[in-house]
Amino acid sequence: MRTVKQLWSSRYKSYLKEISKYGRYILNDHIKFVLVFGFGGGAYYYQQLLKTISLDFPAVLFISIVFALLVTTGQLTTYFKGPDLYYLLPLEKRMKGYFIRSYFITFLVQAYLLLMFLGVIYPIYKKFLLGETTSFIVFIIIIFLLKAYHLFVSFLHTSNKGIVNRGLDYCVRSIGSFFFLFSLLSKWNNFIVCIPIICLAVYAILIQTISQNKRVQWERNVKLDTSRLASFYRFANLFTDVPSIQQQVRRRKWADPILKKIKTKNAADYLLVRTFIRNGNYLSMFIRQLFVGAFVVYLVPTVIGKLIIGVLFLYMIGIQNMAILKQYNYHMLWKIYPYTNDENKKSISTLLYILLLICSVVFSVIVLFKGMTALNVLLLIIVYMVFSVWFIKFYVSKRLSQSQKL
Amino acid sequence: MTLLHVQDVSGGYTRQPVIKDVSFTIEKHQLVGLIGLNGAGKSTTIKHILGLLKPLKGEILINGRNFDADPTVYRSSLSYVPETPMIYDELTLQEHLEMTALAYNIPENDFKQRSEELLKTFRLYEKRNYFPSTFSKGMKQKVMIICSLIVQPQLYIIDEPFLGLDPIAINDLLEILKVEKEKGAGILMSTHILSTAQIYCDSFIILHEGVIIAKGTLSELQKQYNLPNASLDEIYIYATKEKSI
Repeated sequence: MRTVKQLWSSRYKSYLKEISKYGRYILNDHIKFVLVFGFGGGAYYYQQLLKTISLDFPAVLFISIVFALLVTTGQLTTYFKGPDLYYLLPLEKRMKGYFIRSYFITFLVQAYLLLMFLGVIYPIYKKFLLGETTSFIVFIIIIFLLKAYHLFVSFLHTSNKGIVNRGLDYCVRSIGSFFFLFSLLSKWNNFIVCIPIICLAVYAILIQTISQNKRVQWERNVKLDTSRLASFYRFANLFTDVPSIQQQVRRRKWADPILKKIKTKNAADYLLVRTFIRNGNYLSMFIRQLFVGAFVVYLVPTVIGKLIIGVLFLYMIGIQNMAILKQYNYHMLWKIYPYTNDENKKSISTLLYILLLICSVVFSVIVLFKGMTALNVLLLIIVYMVFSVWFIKFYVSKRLSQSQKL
Repeated sequence: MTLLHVQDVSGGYTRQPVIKDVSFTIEKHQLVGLIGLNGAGKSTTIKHILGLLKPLKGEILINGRNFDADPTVYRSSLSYVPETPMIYDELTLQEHLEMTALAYNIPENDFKQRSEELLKTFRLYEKRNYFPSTFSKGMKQKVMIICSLIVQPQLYIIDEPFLGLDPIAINDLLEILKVEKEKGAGILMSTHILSTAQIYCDSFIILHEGVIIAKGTLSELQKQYNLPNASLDEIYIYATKEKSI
């Protein structure tokens, strides 16, 4: 790797490789099937909605808010890796070309995403006759220019920090963009439309002057990129095992009083409860799965459908939380504590019983809102619970004893 | 009764043994230094003593019992400071200690007093509600040391404790080990800092390519190699050179 250009392309290639490697697992045939139906259904509902939508709908406000947010969010992807913090430092002065390439590729990716949103919004744009003043083509170009502007400001932020608070920065830019779009689409006087443009331009120039000759914020950039990749890995981890997944742990101080209340008799319980609450893979995931599961069970017609979907979600939640102490399989201190490993199994089973019981109850009770009879609800809850007990008693305990033999 | 008895132990990670016919003992009130080059087999020896690896041959006894007789009794008689700090990502410093107390059944009152003392000695009291995963290497090492000391076992296994520790902490650790030793504990400490080992250890085991090439007190080693008044450093370099020729 002689030049910065080669460095960039090798980074970009390895990034694409990672994405496509796991992308294949994510976009498996089942998911494709679901997506096709999802898109079809979504398109149909959208069409119905457009037919019935009243002309009082504040379309200008809606479009302005959505696109102001869409153009503001998104940051420069630099493809930095952790060790760059040390190895790339001597190259700092020569990194300009690297950043410019990153800028263009980020712009292309984001423009592509924006184009999809623009496609979705087009029927509304047409229906409300917004094209009379600003033709849709012009609108697309304006949105792209705005995106380019915001990415440029985000690029400026790669080499300075603390000048403007991040939240404030987002506020200024999104409000500016919003006023610009809103005044443009509301057919206000051209003079007024210019005001937000001038404000945004002055803001960018201001940031640029301050950030001139500032050093590249390596630590921040590396963190941004690694966390971006980490969230992709976490998503992919739902479909397959991702070895390079990094555990994200949060302090969750609010849970401390609860943790104190929970009496734990042994070290396994103690570690398990805290891991469950603080590790990003468990509690937050459980809540998400619970809500999504309840929603899907609610939507699916017929009792049989509800049974199948509910059991699938119970299975998924069970599998997800079964691996909770797996990360400590190679932890030496954990391995040498003076107690038998049977306690780990017991603790995990207890946790699973609690979680699956909560799910079973929620999945059954939610059906009441759809006016199902109490008998059906009872049937659902019984099947869910029987499945849970079978799953924990047989499936889980078998899998856990297997992993302990290793 | 001998506290730790390692008898003709050969073993490793595969069928191919890393350590061969290793034998030594540690008595109560004894601090033994385990020294050797990188890859000499120190950590492998330690893993066998901890019960994480099963010897291919030979036997390891603590208080006359081997691991399989009763793993729980065997394990509760020792505590361990690993070479690389092993942190639980989801636990705060205080919780690391509480969990250790739970695992080793340490009575609540003992635990409270002792944990506070140790946290203050190693100047981590203010940090007790933080995650050690964010600490520096030296601070993580201190967490490991406190977790091990809080157990007050009969046998301490300490693997290269000084790397990353600040000089005051090194001194504090050595002083605490001295006290523990006087109380009756046996200590096996692997290290590369030979000058410190020479001062604090009662005897030494020199491991080279999986084999013990010399063991005994400093004066015994001096006699064995015919190097009167030599420091441990000199003896060690002489001994390993002699072997590689």
